[in-house]
Parts: sequence; structure tokens; C-alpha cells
Amino acid sequence: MEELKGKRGIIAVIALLIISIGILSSLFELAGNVRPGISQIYNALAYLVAPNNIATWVYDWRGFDTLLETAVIYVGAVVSAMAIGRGVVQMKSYKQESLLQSKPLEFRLESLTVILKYLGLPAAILLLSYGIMVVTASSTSGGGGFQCGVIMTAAYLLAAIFYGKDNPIRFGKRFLIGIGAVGLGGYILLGLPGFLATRFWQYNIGADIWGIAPPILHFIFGDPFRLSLVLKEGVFFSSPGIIPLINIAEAFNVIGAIGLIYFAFIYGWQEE
Amino acid sequence: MAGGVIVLGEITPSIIAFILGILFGTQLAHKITKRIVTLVIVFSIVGALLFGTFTFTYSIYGGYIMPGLGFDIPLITATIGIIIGKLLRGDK
Repeated sequence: MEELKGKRGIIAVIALLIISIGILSSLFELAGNVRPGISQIYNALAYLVAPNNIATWVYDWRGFDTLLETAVIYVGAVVSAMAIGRGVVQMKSYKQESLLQSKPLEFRLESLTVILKYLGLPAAILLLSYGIMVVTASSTSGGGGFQCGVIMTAAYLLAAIFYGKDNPIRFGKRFLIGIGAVGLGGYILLGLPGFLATRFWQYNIGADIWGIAPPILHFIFGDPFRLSLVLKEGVFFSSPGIIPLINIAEAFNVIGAIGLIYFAFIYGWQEE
Repeated sequence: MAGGVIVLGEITPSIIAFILGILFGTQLAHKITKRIVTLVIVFSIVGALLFGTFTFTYSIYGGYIMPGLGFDIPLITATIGIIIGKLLRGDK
């Protein structure tokens, strides 16, 4: 309970209360509003945009399952670091234990081939760009926040393999923790506008498939991502709403979680 | 462009990619030469051409040139963002 003391603890308790009330009340409000299948829009349009069923599905709804999946990565990261990396991860509780003495990472440029020496960094940069591209395209094509996170951390690992301790992608401990926290918090907070406006937590007020969101919020969250769907049947306008923002939050979350695993096992972890 | 209407969904991904590029570019800690900058920009343009435009993108600002030919603009803007982010960080 020590963690719940102080300003941070009070903020955490208040945030947890608001989120719990929001989710529970949303569940009560859902009674009678859930139709079999995914939604009327899905049933009407899905077969017209068949090239990507997943994209059509996420247009409608993206629940907390993804958030929990990414939270599972955090738990996995912590457990694996504590269990396997004991000694590498030096936290306060384990100060009495002696650190595992491992050989320092070597940076031997002469061991790299010419291709890796000159193309290693550009390849890592291009992988970062590719990861960003995947998350921005995720509402209309394959991929998403999870994939972006994996690609970005793959770039980090690639650069670590090439350059050792002199890793050009310098994802530090504070950066990784910060970006992971922003991702987790952002994912949850993106449910707040929907809750305040419609009493459904994480209701997609940008897509607004039930037509219950205030026009101003529908405009703010919907229009920036609105696309025209030119089909044989005509031209439709559709917006994924808050889905792209959720994908970015999820990407941050995954970068933080997987990045921390790599960071702890490659460079070690010390509180000081 | 469908019916002459500008749809923001074709531009927003590029802007977001640019901002995210700057964010991650500030985490680069290696000296980046002009040669590397040229290389990554050329590669990202080639990559953008290979990936093609996003689904449901029909405008020149979205990267669409003609049927079967288009550029994935967010890939290019992400690369430019990374380079700008690195410039903002400096050679630390």
C-alpha cells in the first residue's frame, strides 16, 4: 500500500474510481442495445469492402480486450525480468543480492561486414519509419498498434545487435517507461469522451454508428480521419473515429513494454 | 478525390506520421551524415512507391497518381520527421 501514498497515489485512486464507475455504468447501459453480430453498418457494408474484413470490423468497435492484451505484455515483461533476469535487474528490494557479473557488451566495428557497417543505421531508421507507417495505415489496412510496436522494437534490437552499447536508437529507461505509460493512459482516457457524451465508455464518437454522439464531438473525432469509400454501389463517407488514436496509444504501449524487456536484458537495469 | 471533396482522412495519417517521426527521431544518438539522409529518403520514396497508396485514397495529396501508381506518403513524412527530430536533438 506504500505506493498509494502521496499525490500520485491519490491521482491513481481517483483515476481508478472514475474508470471503474465508467465501465460498470457502460455495462448497465448496454442492456438492450447489443445486436447479434457486429453492427448494422458492418452487415450492410462489410461485404462491399471485402479486401479487408478486419479493418471493417475495427471501424465499429475496439474493446478493452486489446488493452488487456498489451497489459499482459507488461506483466510478462516484469515477470520474465524478475525470474530470468534476476541479478541483471537490480531493483530496490534486491539490493542485498550481488549483481550478476556479465561481460560488457563489445562494440567492434571491424567485425561488421561492409554492408552492415554502412547500411545498419539506415536500415534501423527505415524500420522506424515503416513502424510509423503501419500504425497510421492501420484503420484502412492490415496492421495496427501492436504490429507497429513490434516493428519499432525490432528496429531497436537490430541496432543493438549491430552497434552494441553504442546503440544509435537510444530508447532510454525513462523514455520507454514514459511512452508505455502514455500509451496505457491514453488508451483508457480515449474512452472518456464517449462516456461523458453518451454514457458508454469507449463509445466511438467519431464513427458514431448509433447516432447518439453530439455533432461537435462527432466532428472533432470523426472528420480528421474521414475517408471516401468509392464503390460500385456509390460513394460512401466513413470515419474510423477514435480507432487510429487508440492504435497509436496501443503502439506506444507495446513499444514501452517490449522495449523494456530488450533494455533490461541487453543493457541491464539499475535503480540509480 | 471523390466528387471533388477534400477528405481529411487522406492527409491526417501523413501529419501524424511526421509528428511521430519527430518524436522517435529525438531518440537517435548517432551522427547522421548527409549520405545517410539521402539514402533513407531515397529508400523511403522507393518503399512508398512499392507499398502504394492507402486503401480508399484518391487524391494527389494522399499520394494517388493514377490507378496502380501511387506513393505511401506517411512513410516519406515519417522518415523526414525522424531526420528533423534528429536535427532537433543535435549530435549528443
